[in-house]
Amino acid sequence: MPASDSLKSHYEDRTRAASAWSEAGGRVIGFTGPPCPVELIAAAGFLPVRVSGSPAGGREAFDKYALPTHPKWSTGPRQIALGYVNAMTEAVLNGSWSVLDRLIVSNPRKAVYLIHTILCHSRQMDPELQAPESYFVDHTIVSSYDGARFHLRVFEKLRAALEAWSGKPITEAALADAIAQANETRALLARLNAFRIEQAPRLSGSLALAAIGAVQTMPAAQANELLASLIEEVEAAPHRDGPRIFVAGSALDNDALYRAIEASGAIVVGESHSWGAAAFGPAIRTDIAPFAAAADHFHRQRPDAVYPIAEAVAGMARQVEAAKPDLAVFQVYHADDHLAWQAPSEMEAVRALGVPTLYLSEAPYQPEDPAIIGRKIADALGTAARPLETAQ
Amino acid sequence: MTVIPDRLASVNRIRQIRRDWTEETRARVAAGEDFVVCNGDECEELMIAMDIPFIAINYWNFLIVAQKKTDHYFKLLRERGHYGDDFFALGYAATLDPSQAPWGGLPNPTLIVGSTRFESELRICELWAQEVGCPCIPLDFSFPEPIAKRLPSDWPDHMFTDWVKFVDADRLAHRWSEERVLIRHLERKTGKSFSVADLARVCDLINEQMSWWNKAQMLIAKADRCPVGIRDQMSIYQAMWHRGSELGVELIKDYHDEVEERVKNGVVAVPNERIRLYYGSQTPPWATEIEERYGAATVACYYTGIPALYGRQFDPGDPMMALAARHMLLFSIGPDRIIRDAKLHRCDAVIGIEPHRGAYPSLDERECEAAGLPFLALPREASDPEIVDMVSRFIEDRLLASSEKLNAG
Repeated sequence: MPASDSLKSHYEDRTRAASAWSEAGGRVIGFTGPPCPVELIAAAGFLPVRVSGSPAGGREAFDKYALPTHPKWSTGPRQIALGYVNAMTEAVLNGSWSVLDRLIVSNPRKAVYLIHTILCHSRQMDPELQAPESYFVDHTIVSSYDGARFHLRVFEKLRAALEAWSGKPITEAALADAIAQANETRALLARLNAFRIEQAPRLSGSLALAAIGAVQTMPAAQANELLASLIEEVEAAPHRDGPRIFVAGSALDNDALYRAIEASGAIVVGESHSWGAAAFGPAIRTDIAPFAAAADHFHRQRPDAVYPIAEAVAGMARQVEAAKPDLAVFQVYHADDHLAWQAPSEMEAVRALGVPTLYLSEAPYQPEDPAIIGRKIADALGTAARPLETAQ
Repeated sequence: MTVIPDRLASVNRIRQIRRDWTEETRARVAAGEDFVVCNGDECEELMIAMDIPFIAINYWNFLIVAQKKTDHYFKLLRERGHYGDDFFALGYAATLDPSQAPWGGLPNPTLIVGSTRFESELRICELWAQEVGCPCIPLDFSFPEPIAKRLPSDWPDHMFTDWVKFVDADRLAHRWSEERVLIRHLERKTGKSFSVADLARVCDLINEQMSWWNKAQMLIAKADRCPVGIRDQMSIYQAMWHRGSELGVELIKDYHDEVEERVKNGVVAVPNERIRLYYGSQTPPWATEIEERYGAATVACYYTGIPALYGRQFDPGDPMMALAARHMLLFSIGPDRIIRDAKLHRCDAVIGIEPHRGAYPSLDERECEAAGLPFLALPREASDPEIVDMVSRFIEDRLLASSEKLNAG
């Protein structure tokens, strides 16, 4: 099977690699996305798998367990309607992720870390509930010396927990190996991304999204092998023509928007959301001891609400500039109250680069009709200013 | 029995004091004094201790709502690309168009404290600070801190002394540290000096004020029939904005004395009181109609039990540790406190607001019912015909029917 098909298949069934790992006697730990010291989990001998929900996943378990126990005052009145987080909660509660031995809930935003609270309360409500036991990996919004110390304590507590779960210490050699493999994944993804941002891309945004998503669900060695094969495939692929689109906004756990955009003849050449190219972050340092490097990497991972907003806006501008799009599409889900207050500033910065923007605000989590998306894209491109390359 | 429909004198006084405070604060900042914008319950005590005028964002936003400017400002925000009609953003919106704002708008603050309570709040504070050109200093882990495991059901009885057990130790250390950073910013920007002794005095006054408040609430709870209507119980809540001051203590001691007097004289708030209700918000908008129709008195609500939870035993050498813990966890959210307060006030039922209700009963409903408290979930706070009908049917079917059966038996 070509690597592209294999990666797409793993993207479609994100428990596939975990099931194989589990059947072979391995133990699987799910995580809800960055910020999370994933390499530490791998070094402890577990398979780290990024958990997601799906627009097709229903909400029966969410209604039964999460809605009645949701601490409604904790995130704001609208947060209980944030679709992608609810879908992830549903998937964890309804047994879709029964392959997990445990779930690590990270803190990119309150709406996500409440999954931990909901799981704890749901289990108290129904001791028979078949959902993985969760562990909370905290993070601050503000980056500071105190924040670094806080993250170091979180890291050390997770290390102790992992060692307790596995029954053996995590060695420096094992962590160095996990870091090396993860850095190789990052390097391969960067090479792959080059095929997207070249003048005439050879890699579609949909396939890139699937590859990035899939490699977060499998052992690093398998991921690297598939990515290397995919690079060979893409090198031989024909160049594509079409308007270049940058996708920003809410985390996209599915490829519906990308498919709709690319069905209209455009190509997604980059994105800023946490399921895209930014999922892995920069390489982990190898010039210092592995534990210090992994802890430092965890500290430098940023939550969804990067403080200050100027840093978030500047980061967005840098990413858009690198992708050289004809249009930046900002899709912010209904009830994504963090991005609803950030996206307008980001769009202003993007437009200042000469790149027009399309704002899909209050978007439903359930994918819209691709034809409607296509029309919106076409309309936006019809009124588009010159592409960035020529605007500069 | 004496019926006094008039408002309490202490309530009338606090209303006047708030009006005066508004004018005084406005005059102080207009005269060039520094002032700070922050969210309620997140750090005000620092400003009180340093005598820096401040405005709590939620208070300011309620002033905007009271002046019926909500629609204007939500429209303005939508024109700027901000959807979702976020109450928290009203103050920011008023800065964009001061012509429609209370006081003719706020003068530019010296500093805005960035709230991390709801997800939108830090961004809104940052945009606000950008607009007026002042720093925005965020604080991590603002109340309400979600708790991984539910606290013991009697946590309200232990919050005063055992607060340290109810918050995460690492989070507390971090928050304590961040509040110290905020103090440094306040000192630098205002030229005023922070004093631990001043903060300890503020904490002492808060404890004293809340102790009087709790005593008053216990008098209300234990009286044969409710001596103070829910409107007055909520109106006196404005004294919360004066916590940590001599005036705050005086206001609530006067309130206590007045409640005590009413109990002694057998005064009742709802003359035909037959049913006692606990309401899961502030003053029920349908209260008068339901009182008159069924003699159903709302004797307690979500807010009436909160003052008692402000008190914290603290180390006079480091009062900020207890304060930082309270800024992270003022109280735990969930049915424990509702059941405790409803039973304390001998309520016959609990009426909650559950806009997101699904097919399954909420934890609040489940546990209230299990504790013998019939529970009604309303989809919204309103007194429209649908809501009044829901409340009426609940009273007739669940409360009157059972009491009639009881009487018949």
